Amino acid sequence: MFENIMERLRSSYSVSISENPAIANWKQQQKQVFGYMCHNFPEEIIAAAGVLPVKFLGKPVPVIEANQYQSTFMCHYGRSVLELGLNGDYDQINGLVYAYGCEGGCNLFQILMETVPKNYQNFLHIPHNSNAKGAFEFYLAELESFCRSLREKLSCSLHDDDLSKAIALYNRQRELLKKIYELRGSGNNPLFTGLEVGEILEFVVSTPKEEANELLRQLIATAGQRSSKMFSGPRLLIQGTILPDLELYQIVEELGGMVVGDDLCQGSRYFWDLVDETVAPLVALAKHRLERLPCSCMSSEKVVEKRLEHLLNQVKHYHADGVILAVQKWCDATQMDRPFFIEQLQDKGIPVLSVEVERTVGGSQFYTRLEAFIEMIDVNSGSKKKNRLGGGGVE
Amino acid sequence: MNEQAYQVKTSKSVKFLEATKKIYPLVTDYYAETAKVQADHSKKVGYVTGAGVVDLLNVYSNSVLPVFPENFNAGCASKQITPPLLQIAESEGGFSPEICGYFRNAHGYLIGGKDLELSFPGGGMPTVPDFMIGDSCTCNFHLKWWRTWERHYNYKIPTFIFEKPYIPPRMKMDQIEDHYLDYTIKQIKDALQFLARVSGQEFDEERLKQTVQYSAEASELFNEVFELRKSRPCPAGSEDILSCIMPIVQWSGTKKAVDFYRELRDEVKALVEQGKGPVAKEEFRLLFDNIPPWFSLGIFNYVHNFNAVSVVETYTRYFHMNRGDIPLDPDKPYESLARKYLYSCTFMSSVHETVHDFVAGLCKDYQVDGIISYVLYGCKIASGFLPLQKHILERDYGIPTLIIEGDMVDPRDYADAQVKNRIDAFMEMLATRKHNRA
Repeated sequence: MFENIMERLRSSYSVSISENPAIANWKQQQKQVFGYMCHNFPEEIIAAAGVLPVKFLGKPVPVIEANQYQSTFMCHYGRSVLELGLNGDYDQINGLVYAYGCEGGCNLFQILMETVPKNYQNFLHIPHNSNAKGAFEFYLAELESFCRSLREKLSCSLHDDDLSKAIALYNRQRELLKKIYELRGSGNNPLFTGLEVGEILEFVVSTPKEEANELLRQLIATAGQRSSKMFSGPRLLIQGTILPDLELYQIVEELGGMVVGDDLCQGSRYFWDLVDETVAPLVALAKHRLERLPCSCMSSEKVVEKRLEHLLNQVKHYHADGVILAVQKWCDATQMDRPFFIEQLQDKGIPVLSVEVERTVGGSQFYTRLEAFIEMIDVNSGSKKKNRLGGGGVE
Repeated sequence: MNEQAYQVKTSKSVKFLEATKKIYPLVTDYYAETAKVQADHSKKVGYVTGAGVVDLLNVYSNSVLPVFPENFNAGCASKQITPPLLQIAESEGGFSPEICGYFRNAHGYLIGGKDLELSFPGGGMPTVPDFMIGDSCTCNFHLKWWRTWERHYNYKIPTFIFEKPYIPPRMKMDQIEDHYLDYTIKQIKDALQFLARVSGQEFDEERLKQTVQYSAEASELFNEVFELRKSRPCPAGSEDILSCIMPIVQWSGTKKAVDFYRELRDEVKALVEQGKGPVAKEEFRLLFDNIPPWFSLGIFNYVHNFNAVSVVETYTRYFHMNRGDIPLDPDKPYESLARKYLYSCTFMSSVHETVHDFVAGLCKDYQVDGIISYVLYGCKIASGFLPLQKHILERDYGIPTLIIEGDMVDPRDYADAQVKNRIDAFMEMLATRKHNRA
């Protein structure tokens, strides 16, 4: 049963925009689709305007055309987003929307707007120092300006009621994903594997929320009856932004381990915090985006310590044996934080493997490094391994 | 470890202007003053960054002395001593060699480089400030940098983070939406209060107005220099003017900056009247785009071999008020400074406007034949779109661009001979174009 639902999930989306059946179905209803890149973007607002927001997930494609317009000193993820656009993958997209996350993305998205222009394009600034005086008022005004623009260009009403409904729908998805994250880390035969969770995260940012939530509910309801495979290797966490594909999860599982949690943009940071449903919707959205679990681009007070706290909570919660820092090459923000995380994790005796991600996570080279990392974990924690075999799970 | 071990094989620039030759003595005096005030506690020393918020520190100039680590980095690069400092940031600090060279150099200096036997500009920069103000007028990376240093000092140094919002493509410079202005003004007021707290000096609105007045005068004088550079022959090339930004970066809002730019303006004006410039038979006029390789400013003298002068830069426009139609007004000090910070770095506003209005506008105004764009691997915000810019300027305006890649202070991957070879080919191409058009 569970496997059938997973198969339905797999067949109902694609990371390729042009091959995504969910987008084709949506377009058949004469409705619009907007693409975005960074989860800083308040997608609830475009959903409330009756538009399907889809995340550009990028792909491990060779970058050729994009080099004409964008410097090569930029993460492969971003460059692949542009490459796919230049090669026609976004023909079904009606709008491009962005909220300033990282500096590379800021340029790249505007290059996309210049070279693959769409009928609707907008770019929001989000304060990076969320505690700054006036940051909240600024961002609220920015969201109001965005709503005005959508009402005008799309001739839609976009009332507070529409926003509240969209927020509720997104919150339900956040709760469902959190439930899945509970189940993914439990015991030595997890109800969701790391690879499956990777697929689920791709699915939820590529499909309409109503349908996605229904499938998630069915998965959760049936997960307890599945016969999942045991694993005896280490329980690992991944930290980073976005991975080129799901290869990393796959390699970890091939080597007998399991990714049991993460601190990724395309992972827990997407859904970790709920939007307050008891206050005015735009106020709630502005607060949520400023106060949510931060990414490495943010520069609020003690932001890196907050990120470390989240990571350490996950290590404890999932009884993780080690952490993989999967840093995109040329990603300034994560590169700046990397020495701090390595030092802090090592000080606390948590094994850490730092890898640079480009078009792939590194194929056979990564395989070898991960093998050595797993061996090191096993040698250093013989007793821990015994406990793990005894069924270490979610705390 | 000494300089001999890290011999950098690039060329330093030869200055043409007398005013420029006074920069280094100013730097030396400045760092001597910094060391003195730290020793006798007569002023608080604050690390500051970005394009202009130094004005706010200069409101408190009786009790505050701003130190600008990026100037120090550029100085280290000009003196060709950065490699050991960069290496320390990477090997001991654990930072990637791919990130901002300014950060790596300054961080390497702080965590050990300061003890090396190197000829640091002005004898060296203080390593423990009394406070820090980090802003994003030039990039958001600065905010992370200042937060990283806040942690480096175990949160014992009072730190203020000032975020200039990025101007998105929906706005033109004369259509800045109110909430962008309000947010910037709120942070200016908050920063002024922070400075009153850390300096112990009471805020004085008259001093703020005086600061804006000085900032406006220095901007006006520097703008006059830029106007004069439109002359043929150009009276001052990039080999000089790139060094001349130091006073506006460091002393914006003070009489010291006004005096320097008056002297510079007078000298440049006299050269125009005499019909003189660094190249007598000027044939080609170039625009230099982005932060230069400070360790190799000699490339601007090198282009003289082709009777070419780099007559204008993008980088030298980021530190004073030179965009928008509303000049700095001492009677509206908060709005004026907010506009100055919002308008400062073009790459902190929409790519479309930067390329079509700003860079293409400079090409037209200065009768530019070709552009040299320096793509910095460590500076994503300033460099990411430069290949697009090259494409648009060639396609829509017929102006060719030579792209060179490297870092502003890290010479280790900079192949001087290759860069010069590419400049040779580019100049040959410009000559052919000119010949064909004639």
